[in-house]
Amino acid sequence: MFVTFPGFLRLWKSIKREAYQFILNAEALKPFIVLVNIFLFLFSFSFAQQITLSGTVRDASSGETLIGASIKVKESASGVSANSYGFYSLSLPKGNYTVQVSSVGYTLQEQEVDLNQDLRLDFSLAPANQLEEVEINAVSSREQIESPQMGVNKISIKEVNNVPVLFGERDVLKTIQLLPGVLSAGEGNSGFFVRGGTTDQNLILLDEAMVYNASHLLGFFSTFNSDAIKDVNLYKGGMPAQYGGRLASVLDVNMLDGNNQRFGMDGGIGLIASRLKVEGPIKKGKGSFMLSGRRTYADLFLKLSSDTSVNNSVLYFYDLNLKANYQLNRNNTLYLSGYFGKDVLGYASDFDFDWGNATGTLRWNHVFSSRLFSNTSLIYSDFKYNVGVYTDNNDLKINSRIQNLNLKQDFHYFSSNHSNLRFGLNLMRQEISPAGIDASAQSDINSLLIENRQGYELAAYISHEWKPTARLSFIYGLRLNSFLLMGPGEFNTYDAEGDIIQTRIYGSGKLVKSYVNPEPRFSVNYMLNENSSVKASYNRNTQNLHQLTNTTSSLPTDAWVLSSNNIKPQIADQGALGYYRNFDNDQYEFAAEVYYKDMQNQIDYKNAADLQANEHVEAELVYGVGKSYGIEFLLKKRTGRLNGWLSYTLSRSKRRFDEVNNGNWFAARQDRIHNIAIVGMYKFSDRWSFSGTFVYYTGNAVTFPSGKYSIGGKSTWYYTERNGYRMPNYHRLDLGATLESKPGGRFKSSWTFGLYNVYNRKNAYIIDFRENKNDANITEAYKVALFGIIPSVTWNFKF
Amino acid sequence: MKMESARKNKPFYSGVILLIVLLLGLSACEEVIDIKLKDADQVLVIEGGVSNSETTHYVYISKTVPFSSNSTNNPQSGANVKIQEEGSSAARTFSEVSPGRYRINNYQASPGRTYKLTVTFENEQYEATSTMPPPIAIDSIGTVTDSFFGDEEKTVAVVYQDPPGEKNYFRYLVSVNGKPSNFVFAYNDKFNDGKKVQRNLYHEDLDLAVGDYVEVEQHCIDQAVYTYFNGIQSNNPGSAAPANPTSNFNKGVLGYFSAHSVTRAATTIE
Repeated sequence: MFVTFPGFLRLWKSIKREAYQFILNAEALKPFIVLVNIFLFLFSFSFAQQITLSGTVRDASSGETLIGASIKVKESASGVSANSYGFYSLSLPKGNYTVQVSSVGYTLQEQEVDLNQDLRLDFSLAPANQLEEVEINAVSSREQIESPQMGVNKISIKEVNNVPVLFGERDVLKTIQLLPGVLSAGEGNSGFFVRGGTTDQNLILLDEAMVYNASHLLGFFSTFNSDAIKDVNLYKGGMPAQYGGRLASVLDVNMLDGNNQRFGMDGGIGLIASRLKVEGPIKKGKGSFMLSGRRTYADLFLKLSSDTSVNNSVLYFYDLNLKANYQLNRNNTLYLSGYFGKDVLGYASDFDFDWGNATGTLRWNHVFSSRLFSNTSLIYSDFKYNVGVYTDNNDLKINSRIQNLNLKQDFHYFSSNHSNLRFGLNLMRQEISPAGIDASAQSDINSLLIENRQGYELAAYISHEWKPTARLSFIYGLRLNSFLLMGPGEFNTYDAEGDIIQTRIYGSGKLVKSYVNPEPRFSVNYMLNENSSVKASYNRNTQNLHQLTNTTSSLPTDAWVLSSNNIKPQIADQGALGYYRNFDNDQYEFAAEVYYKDMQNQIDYKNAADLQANEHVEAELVYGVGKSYGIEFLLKKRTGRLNGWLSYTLSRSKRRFDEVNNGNWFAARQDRIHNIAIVGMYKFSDRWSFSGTFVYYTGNAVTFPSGKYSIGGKSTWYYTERNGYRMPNYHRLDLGATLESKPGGRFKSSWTFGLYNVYNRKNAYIIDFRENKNDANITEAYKVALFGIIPSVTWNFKF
Repeated sequence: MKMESARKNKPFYSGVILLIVLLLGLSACEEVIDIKLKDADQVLVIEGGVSNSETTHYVYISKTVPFSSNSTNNPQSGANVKIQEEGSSAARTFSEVSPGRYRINNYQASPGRTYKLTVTFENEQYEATSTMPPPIAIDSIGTVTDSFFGDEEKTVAVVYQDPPGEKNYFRYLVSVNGKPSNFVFAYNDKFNDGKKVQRNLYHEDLDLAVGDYVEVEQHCIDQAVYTYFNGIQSNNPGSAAPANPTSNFNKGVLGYFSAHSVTRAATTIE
């Protein structure tokens, strides 16, 4: 935050200056305000003669709030679950009740309550004895049957920590790739594709802050250090109305609050990186902090080299997560969270390259009344990269940055036990400083300055969760999103050939282009019986921030652009149907979802498009449509010594652009037809546990030649269709084992052993074509495989 | 002549390469594989050029062959090939000197003029035009030595003064010890307009050693020809969607017609 402080101030000032622009555009909000009024009117009848029980549910040992904890009343069969801050509110007629509070992995707590006036009641649940049973899922076991929310997967950190991964560096983003509908962006890569979307169509949030680039080292590691993470939710469809801005998915990651009961430390030493976390109370029971860091140390080995250009080289990344919270009084709690991460790479004294994200979130939870919960967030997020080349006559720097300042106001109104309402506003300013070149006068490269671009996204939403009968429930709502592209700057309009047909200059704060998109969201759940349900959903999502890349690997230097006079917002409409069933006392969960998604204003590139440091980059784009559809199955065993899941996805994803592939539909690169993941974890004894994963998927759609010819004596490939071929099918088995220290004592340690790609399959990373070295007339295909079998070991401790 | 080391042309990619070397040096492996590729219908390929430095010019006409074919060569005979300077009514005809190889003698092409090549083959007529840019002098040529994790790498570099205020496009042909290499080197002056430019002609497979005699031909080409060659060099293993380079011929013909001005220089690698 300190590094970015001046930028933050500047943003904040311009927000104030330009806030007035929004009022001018508030016309767009009118239908929304009318809607809120109608809703509030409809709910007012249900207020009658009810007494409200409300409070917060926490872990007794750490004070961490328990998201999604279930609060039920024995006598009336009514119940609610705690929201993402652990807050619940339950309204009942006067009387005596037995309240049961539970959360998976915790001992059920019962309390007698004599309810004759509104009551605040906080609960602290004791963690269940881990030795009896291994619980793997943080989700309340009944949630998938009872909630109308669909297309959601929740991952517990325990799962993340048990799944074996490359180099033993446990990773949230690699674990979600084992879920149905989620595909890995490549070997060992933390990038992911959801339901046929691209990687830039995922909204990745860390404590509400947008993470622009969630990977380190070109994608091999994610920016999420699992030590600092409490909870991960992935929405693949049926996005709740409080989220918006991306087409394919929302990955909502929440950081741990920190232990408010006692100080603790934990950490680990692995092959790639070491980690350390410190947490403790600021004031016992009132506030806590958590500070977690991770750094790689491969570059320490470079120092051992005798070659000066090698021992002057650097290569590392680090992550720093911090969070603090303080409960001012019963009704007010403040949270501050931040993330800083950076990759640094330099060769000798003539080249360096670094990139990283910084995010900061300040939140204020306020309980207006026992039924109305409010959260206000001020969020800052930033991603930048810097390249420097330093040679005697060729000094050159390239800097690029994207940042946003975001003000969010969310309300959660618990109108009755069958109905709750969420509504809110979101005002975000986004600013992009495209890569320019800053060269010295002696350099043979010219300095190049590309204008900044700034845009505002103003969104308002309302969403009602309603359970009219015991079997039927709905979530329906509307998100109204307006995007405003603002001056200053020179804005060109391009024709299909990429030639400028109009140039306009706008002053600071002048509106260049605006788009308003209503995004309806709807889902319904009908419980067939106590253990099974069917659901249906429809939702529209729009996207005004687009990342441009025409390479197969995503690079930190890939440019971001906003919707503009040339680029229209991307739009996706998704419909889905699902069947859910629990077996055997909720030990097993089964889910099947089928979806169809229609996408408009998709972006592709002209041949040999120039996307780097190009002020006319919008002239290099072409626009088309997309569709993806598929069916996903997930069978999960949640409890017992052996648990895990089986996931299968059958899906297609296609695109059509007038300028590409003769205007015919073609398979998107991420069109993988079959995708299987099997995850198993076995608790052998108190000390030993084992895990394994197996993945299999159809190869990516790729463009290979269908002929050849000679140009200037060089074999040149003749292409006839886009993505008309397939990479070979991919499969891999990983195994892991964990040895815990002897039980007892405060200091605990464990060893984790891993084996990546156990049967050493050479999965193709790249397939390319070349002339034979001995006879140039003969041409051959060759593949490059990245990782063979790779062992890993990590030592972890905790006290 | 020794020159400044500068890996400046592609700073992003050298960083990427560095990372990949460090990280994946562990276990990346490469092997030749057998892939069944489709055999597309044969398509006509025309490659032709005129320059200011010769009065004899060639046009090569061929067709594509299946990828698995043992020869990339598939010359086509019997085409009628004509060249005409824009604004002049007289067209000259090429004669076929060997299968697929068409030649014209005593034809002087000059900078600033536009030429149209017309090929009539199998009852179809194909056309391309190209304008010859003025030549740009090579001020010097020399050797650049880079050390990359202990390995010394030699690159030949040329220095020229880029004319300010105009777009310039370059293609280089490099031959080593009298043997032409067929690597594509195409550049524009997007980042160097008006500068004294040192152009490092680096290709990973052009292994130069001390004592090698390297000749460089600098072609000043027009934008369409640059687009063609840039299309070829953009098709690398990392591109998401390789495609045929955009030809300046009509009717879906592959290849190009280039009117270019030539300057030459040579050096011995130090």
